[in-house]
Amino acid sequence: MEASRGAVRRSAGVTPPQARGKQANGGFLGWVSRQQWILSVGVILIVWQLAAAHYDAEIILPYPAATLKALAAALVDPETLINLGITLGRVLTGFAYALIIGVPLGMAMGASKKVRRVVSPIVDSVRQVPIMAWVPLTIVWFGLGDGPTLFLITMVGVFPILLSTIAGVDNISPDFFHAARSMGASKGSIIKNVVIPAAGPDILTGARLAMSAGWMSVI
Amino acid sequence: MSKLEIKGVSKQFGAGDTVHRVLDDVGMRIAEGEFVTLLGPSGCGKTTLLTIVAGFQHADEGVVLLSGNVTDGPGPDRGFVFQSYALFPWMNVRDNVLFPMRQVAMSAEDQERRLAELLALAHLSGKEHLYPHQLSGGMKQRTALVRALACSPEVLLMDEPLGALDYQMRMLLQGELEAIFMRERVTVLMVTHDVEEAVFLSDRVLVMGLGGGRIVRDLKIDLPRPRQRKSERYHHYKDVLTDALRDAMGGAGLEALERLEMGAAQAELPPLSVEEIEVGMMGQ
Ligand SMILES: Nc1ncnc2c1ncn2[C@@H]1O[C@H](COP(=O)(O)OP(=O)(O)O)[C@@H](O)[C@H]1O
Ligand SMILES: [Mg+2]
Repeated sequence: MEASRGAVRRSAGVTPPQARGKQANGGFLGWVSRQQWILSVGVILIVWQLAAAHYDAEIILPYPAATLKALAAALVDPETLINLGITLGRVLTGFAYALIIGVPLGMAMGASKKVRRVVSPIVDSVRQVPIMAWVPLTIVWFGLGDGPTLFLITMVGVFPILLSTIAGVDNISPDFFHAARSMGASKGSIIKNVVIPAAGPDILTGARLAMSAGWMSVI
Repeated sequence: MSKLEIKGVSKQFGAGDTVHRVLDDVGMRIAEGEFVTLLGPSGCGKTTLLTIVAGFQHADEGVVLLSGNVTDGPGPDRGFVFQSYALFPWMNVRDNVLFPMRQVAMSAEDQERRLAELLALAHLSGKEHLYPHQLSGGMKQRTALVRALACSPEVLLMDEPLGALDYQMRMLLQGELEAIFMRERVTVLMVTHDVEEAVFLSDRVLVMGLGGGRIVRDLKIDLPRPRQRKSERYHHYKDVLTDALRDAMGGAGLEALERLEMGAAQAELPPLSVEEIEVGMMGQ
């Protein structure tokens, strides 16, 4: 408590550390200036070009120009766009399931030792299953349609969300809960006014991980 | 009938060989409108007792009666001021102070009226859109205090409410606290290890001893308000309580007390910046 008091006091008047952290990793390009961006893209293109010239074989490493042409062709090809849309839809749906399962379960596990004791062994064992091992099972369960894909996206997304939600709720100072309860707050009010705002940044971190994991798993 | 009565409260931590009986059959009665301070050395169980009264933890034995009714769990009938303030960092001053009023059935009109009254009382008018990290220690303390007072609790519990502030700010805030209490007329149970603070603010001081948390001294502070620090009687009370506090440490004597005070001084934060002190004084 001594340490946190010091930290709070020191941050008075300047950007709170939390906000600073959020900006810094808010977007990859957020803090990169235009010149830096051109420079790094230029370097990549030059290295790529040299490497491609070295091999000079399409099958090993195509030239940047050829790749960009293919990309341009793909972007105007309606079929590719439709497929892209379908994939995006699947990722978003799976991500939504992961959120719907992960956030409430994580909150329950973060808030109650009892729930955590019961649920943890299940979560921990399911988490150990390599993601590809689910594939045959899910085909048996859901057939060949969207089901298996959605299941996998949900599966890879739910754990980062769950773990970061638990950590987020765990890190809330007990004083906040005590304060809220001594001001007459109901359970619902505590979730809305204390748990979500306090654990929100952690939940978002998990959601970001889940989103990229979901995207990776469909490609 | 007492406003607050603590009856035979015991609490121990640990189990088996390492059991530590922090509170052993502790009792006290506090009358309506009385400002009572629990003064005792660090680690004697003050916070434990206060959080039991607040309902944040349960006593192993004994009960806490509020206006004659047994309490169970925290509730808005007992306001609490935390040493660390526990203001919600994601809410500005306005939303922090409105929070307790929004938890009870109170019309929007009444909420606004009460908010304006509390902000004026705490010299925070015009500061309602600042977030806790933008406030000085003194402003945070006053925000936390009026938030706890917002719904007029029957008893206000304060755990070292000025403990996180430096010496000058503490003196200043003691005066402001007194003014607020003379206006709001609430029953208070405060915890501190600071003799000066106890004498300045209290109607009665209970000195708590190490080992079981028994009350070793019950001293009425019979001084007119607002309190003057210069009077001879004021110094007399301070001397009596300093002695009692020393005895409360179980014959460990002056060295232990000094060691404790030095420890406390070291644990304190660096002095406040000039701006911060000025911000605090603007409230005067
Ligand atoms: N949750 C706990 N578990 C174990 N020991 C505790 C707990 N809370 C308090 N104690 C012990 O009880 C004693 C009294 O603590 P506390 O009430 O915080 O003292 P004070 O507020 O007077 O400084 C201390 O020795 C402390 O270590
Ligand atoms: Mg304490």
